[in-house]
Amino acid sequence: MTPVLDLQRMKTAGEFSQYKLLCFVKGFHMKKVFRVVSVLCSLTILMTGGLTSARAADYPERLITAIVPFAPGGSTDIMARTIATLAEAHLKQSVVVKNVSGGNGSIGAKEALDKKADGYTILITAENLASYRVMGVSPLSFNDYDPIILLARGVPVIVTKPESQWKTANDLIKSTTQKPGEVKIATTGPTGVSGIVATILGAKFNMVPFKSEGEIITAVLGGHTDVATVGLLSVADYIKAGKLKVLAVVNDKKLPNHPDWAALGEAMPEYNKHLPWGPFYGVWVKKGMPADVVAKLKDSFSKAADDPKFKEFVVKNELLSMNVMGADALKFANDFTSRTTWLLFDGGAAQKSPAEFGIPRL
Amino acid sequence: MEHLLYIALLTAAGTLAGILVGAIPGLSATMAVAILVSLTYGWDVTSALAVIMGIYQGAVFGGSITACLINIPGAPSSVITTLDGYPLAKRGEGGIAIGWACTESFLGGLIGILALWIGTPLIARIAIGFAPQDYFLLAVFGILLVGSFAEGSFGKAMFTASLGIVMGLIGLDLITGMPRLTYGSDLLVKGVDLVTAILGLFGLSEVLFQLYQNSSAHVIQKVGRVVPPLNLLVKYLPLTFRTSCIGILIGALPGVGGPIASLMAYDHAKRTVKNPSRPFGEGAYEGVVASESANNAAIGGAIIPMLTLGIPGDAVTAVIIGAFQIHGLRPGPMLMAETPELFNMIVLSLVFATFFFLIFGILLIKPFIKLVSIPQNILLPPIIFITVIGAYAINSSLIDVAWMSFFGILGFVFKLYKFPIPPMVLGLVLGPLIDETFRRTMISYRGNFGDLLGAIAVSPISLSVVALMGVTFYMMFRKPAKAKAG
Repeated sequence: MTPVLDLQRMKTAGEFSQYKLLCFVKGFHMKKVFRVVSVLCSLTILMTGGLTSARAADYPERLITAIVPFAPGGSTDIMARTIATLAEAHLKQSVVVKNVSGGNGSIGAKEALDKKADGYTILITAENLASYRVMGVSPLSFNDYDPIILLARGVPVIVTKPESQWKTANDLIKSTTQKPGEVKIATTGPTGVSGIVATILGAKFNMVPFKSEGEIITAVLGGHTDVATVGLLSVADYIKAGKLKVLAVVNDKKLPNHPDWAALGEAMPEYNKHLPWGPFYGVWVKKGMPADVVAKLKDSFSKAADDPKFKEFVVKNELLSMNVMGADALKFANDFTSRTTWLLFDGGAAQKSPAEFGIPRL
Repeated sequence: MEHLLYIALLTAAGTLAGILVGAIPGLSATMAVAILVSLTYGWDVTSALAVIMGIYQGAVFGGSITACLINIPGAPSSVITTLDGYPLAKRGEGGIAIGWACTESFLGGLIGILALWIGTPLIARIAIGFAPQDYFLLAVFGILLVGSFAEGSFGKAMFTASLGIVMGLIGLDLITGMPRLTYGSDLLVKGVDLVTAILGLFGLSEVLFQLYQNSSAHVIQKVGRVVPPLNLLVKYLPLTFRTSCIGILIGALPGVGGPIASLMAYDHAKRTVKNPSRPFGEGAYEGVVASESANNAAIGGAIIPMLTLGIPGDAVTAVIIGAFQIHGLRPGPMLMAETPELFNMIVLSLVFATFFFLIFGILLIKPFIKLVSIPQNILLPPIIFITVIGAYAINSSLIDVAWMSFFGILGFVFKLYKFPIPPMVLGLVLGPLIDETFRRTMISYRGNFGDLLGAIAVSPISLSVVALMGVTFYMMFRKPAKAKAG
């Protein structure tokens, strides 16, 4: 079926160009095209087949996908992109960050489990895996993965407006016991970092949930809530500019870079059993990877974490360096899971008891 | 000087890429900026910013091209542009429609930049003043405007809007952190992604509908004049200014953004323009003017809270904040004080980008029109391909492709029975916003409705929003009475 060139019917240039296009498309010999395509397809299959059957000792032979279960531009994403770029040099392969966001990170975490345990898919994620089970979000937990390295952790701070009546965390807690439910605290929902910190404080706050740390800060600046617990990075500049003041750092010890801020654990030792608590970032792989693949990943990522560039990144982003691997990393994640899930359950936010999943109380 | 030229060239490249990304449904500015963030990792900040700002401006305009020509908005902020842009294309005036979109995006963009340049401290202060209840009132106001699209049946518009609201609630509940309306399914935990919904409702459904109609008749687009005449441009200048101001303010409010800015601007135009060139919804130039000037003006607005507060005004600025952080900068109160030259660079890149998309836009109109002159049997299959790729690319997830197909079939059924589709998209945007802001407000007042009313009564911002709603209501009910009298 060839198009007919009917110059009388073609009144416009547009129609003529259509005709030309039709001729062009129909000019292909479909059989030839199919032949080329089938050759290309079989080539691809051969190549990928050859790759998977290669010895694991040659790992990595092709690019590695690092799944980040959160949207681009978020704190986990920035962390992942920084460490991935540095690890590339030691792996001698590209590490491509793939954002698979949604479901509070559970969708991407699941995707990392759905892939083969061959070392070509890794998961770079934050602390959220701890609470999926008790919140009924997903059956996944840190137990489904092996840790490669825990990179760094963030420190939440309790902030308020400079003109506020409170000077210390103690003042704040006192106010909430005097007028239970009156003090408004901005959080990112009960399972977010700030929500859990509010539960740690155990005081009777009126918890007002917001979508992001940015919105929390506006709420405090605009006087719509009284206090907030936020990751240090988000508020560091506001504190420097004198627009917010720190009541306490949610940590057992004072921060080396900010010695003038009180630490919650030092000011009120009764909270020490919950501390340190805060977001942490780590690299994980599906269980059952070949030992030499895991060894190679551990070696490359720990070298990347020792890179001065990464250390500078950690300081700039107001994080605390961790560099924890192996059994220590597993213990940290398990302790964190115990603390978090029981806090959520005791605070009434969790749907299921941690005991159902055999999570011990610390 | 040499450096400036270099920045201009980078911005030009970014703008061109932005227009193309914006014009392809499913590829969004957010995605393009996210990719660039890793690409520009080793660059210096100003070069990276130049490209990013180019993409941002270009993509918001680019979304209007496919919105006008094939009724598939390339980006969420162009959904409203389809209302009058596509009817224009159906009359063979697709080129003029894009010409209008281009010049008005240009004017709106410039007004937005001007506001960013001189009004930043003031607008930032207004944005901070917005309390949870003000966001709630604003979202309710948005739902009221859905009546604007009730072509034919108001009931049908309300139906699709309500369906959108309910579907928008699927997924993890922000307030409790628990899955909601998911029936224990992994597919539903993620919730509905707005871009996926648009790809299906507008893209796939349009293809299915065309196939169903099986009409080979297709409109020959006029290719003569594509630049709007100067006298009309001047005539619409006051409208452009008003809709741009709406765009700036809505853009500056975190989490509201372009789609709602163009919705409010469109409604404003519909209420204030006495004698439109054609009735709204049938190809009124004013409709394209309002929507396109507002969504580009919203860019200037969205950058204000990003720079001064470190709070994203929309999805793209959220990614741009990430780009800043990778380059070791922290948007927030110190950024403007510590690095004022960076602010000037951003303004400059935006100005460059605005001029570039005007030039590229006008130049690209004719090739784009040629594209729609391609016979349907060749044009339609690639659109299906693009919608699938686009849906997959959002989160690299097949779940989104399933959602997209679902929305495609739903949109097809809607088209078959003449249910308007834009209200559904607005429901998807506004539903979760209303839910979230209402519950936040009530929690904030500890469930005491009296306290809430008291707070509204003493807040100037709340009172203004309430007054705005009152005026809109008044005009809604006055109109039919006037029509009867006439």
